Amino acid sequence: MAALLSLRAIGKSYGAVVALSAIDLDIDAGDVVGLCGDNGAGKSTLIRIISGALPPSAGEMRLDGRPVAFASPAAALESGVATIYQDLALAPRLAVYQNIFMGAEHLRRFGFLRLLDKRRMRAESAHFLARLNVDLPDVDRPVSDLSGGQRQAVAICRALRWNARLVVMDEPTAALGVRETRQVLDLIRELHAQGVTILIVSHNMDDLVAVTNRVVLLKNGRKIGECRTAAATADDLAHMIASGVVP
Amino acid sequence: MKDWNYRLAEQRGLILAIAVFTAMFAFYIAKHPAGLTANVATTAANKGVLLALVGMAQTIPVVTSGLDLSVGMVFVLANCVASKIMTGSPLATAFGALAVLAVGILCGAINGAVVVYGRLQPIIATLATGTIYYGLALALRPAPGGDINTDFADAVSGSLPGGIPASLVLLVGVVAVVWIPYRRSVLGRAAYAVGSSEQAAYMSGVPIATAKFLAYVLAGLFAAIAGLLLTCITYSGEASAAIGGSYTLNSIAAVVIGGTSLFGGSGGAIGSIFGAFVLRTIGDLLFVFDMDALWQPLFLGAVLLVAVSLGSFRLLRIKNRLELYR
Repeated sequence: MAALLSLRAIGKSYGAVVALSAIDLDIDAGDVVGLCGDNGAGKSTLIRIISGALPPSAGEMRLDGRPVAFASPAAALESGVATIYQDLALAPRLAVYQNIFMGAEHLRRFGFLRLLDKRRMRAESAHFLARLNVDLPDVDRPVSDLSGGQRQAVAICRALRWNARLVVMDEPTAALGVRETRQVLDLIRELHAQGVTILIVSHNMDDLVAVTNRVVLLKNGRKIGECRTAAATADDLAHMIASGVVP
Repeated sequence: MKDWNYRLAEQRGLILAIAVFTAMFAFYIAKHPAGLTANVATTAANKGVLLALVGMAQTIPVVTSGLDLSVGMVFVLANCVASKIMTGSPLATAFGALAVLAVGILCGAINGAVVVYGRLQPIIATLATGTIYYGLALALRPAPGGDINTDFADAVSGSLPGGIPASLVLLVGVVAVVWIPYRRSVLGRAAYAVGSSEQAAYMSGVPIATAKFLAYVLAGLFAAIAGLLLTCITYSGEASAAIGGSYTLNSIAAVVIGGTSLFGGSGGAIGSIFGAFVLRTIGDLLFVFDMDALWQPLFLGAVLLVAVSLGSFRLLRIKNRLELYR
């Protein structure tokens, strides 16, 4: 069976600067994969390529065995690849339900017009939040009122709204407190339990060990190896990144 | 219950503008020697609706966190075009009116194209295009004058049976036919999303370019409707830089008083309508109190400052002060 997402020899260079080279990566359906590496390792570049925000300069990307080239994040979303960015994912002055349905609003016919179906969007937003076991009773609250963990929950609901098969999360626990980090990790487990495939980029080795099945390690724009997290500790991962050697 | 608190909070600026206007207008009518006659109401409505339409025009670019400094000039240009072509038979007048609206839409489309595809700052782009539109108006009508089908003009600027000002009906019609469907459409929501966070909107696949473009097009349309109404009120056209400039600045004031944040992503045109009414009623109040018209700018400025300060009350409520600098 073909992997859900498979990258072959993906590279990205900006003029003479090579940000990524020859990245091979397979993610099976239902897997939870971590992506880690030091600053400048190419993690962000790689997920921007996967999310359609950046075109690769070399290599091939396949989704369900079919070659894909996303022209924009919108195109990636339509193919079922949703990316949740740490800080720029939400519109702070809009309400929770407006954020969840941003760019994919439900409409209803009104004569020859097609208007927003706010009632349905409110109801479905509450339903998505309930699916993730998030206690956020009021979908009319502006996102700027929410805590970091709640914002991540809203962002993840957007992935549910898109029926995303692959959810890419960029530093989902960065800048969160201990309790909120635990909440977000619970959200990730909940998402996984519902059959969604997840790719997590993180600096935090403990978090990766806690929720992923395996971790892909990058260094200086190259993949240095993969590691099953069942057998590894956070210290092992940190050591591999520092030394650049994966046993 | 909780739901309604947040929905109300979103409308706070609008509710405040309505309250202030109602209080001021009631005071004005109570003080007016003639009371609320059809004539008084129509005069007040005509002045108010002119600025309300230009304020609505300004609102939509502001919601996308842009600004349209050309609305006043589109208004003047539409006035000059209308005073040239809206004469003769009813049919010719009707086509003339459509042509005036088309001119407004075209001006708006140029603004939108320059801002969206030329990627220029809205302030400077519309300052430049506005000057061009003013130049066109001046070329069209070097000296004040012109004419308009009197029946049409009287119908639009007069009052309906029962003393209801026709211009007010026009305003309600524009709100019902253009603003409300727009507000509840995907592109309307997109305008708010772009104004709140353009990056988030892009990442979510919101049609950013179309939303911004449409915002300026609608601004042009609303400004042209206002220009049409001005022609119906004055029966003539005048390429006046002073009128264009003051309407542009007052439109921004109306937007702010109506509770729309200049940072974008919130508020709406209904607020701006009442913001415009508040601004106009200040002048009327000074009149019934026999105060010199020279005081008007001072009072307008004071009201504007108060309105902006009310908007800044969030400073006192905010949990994390760093959020202010986002």
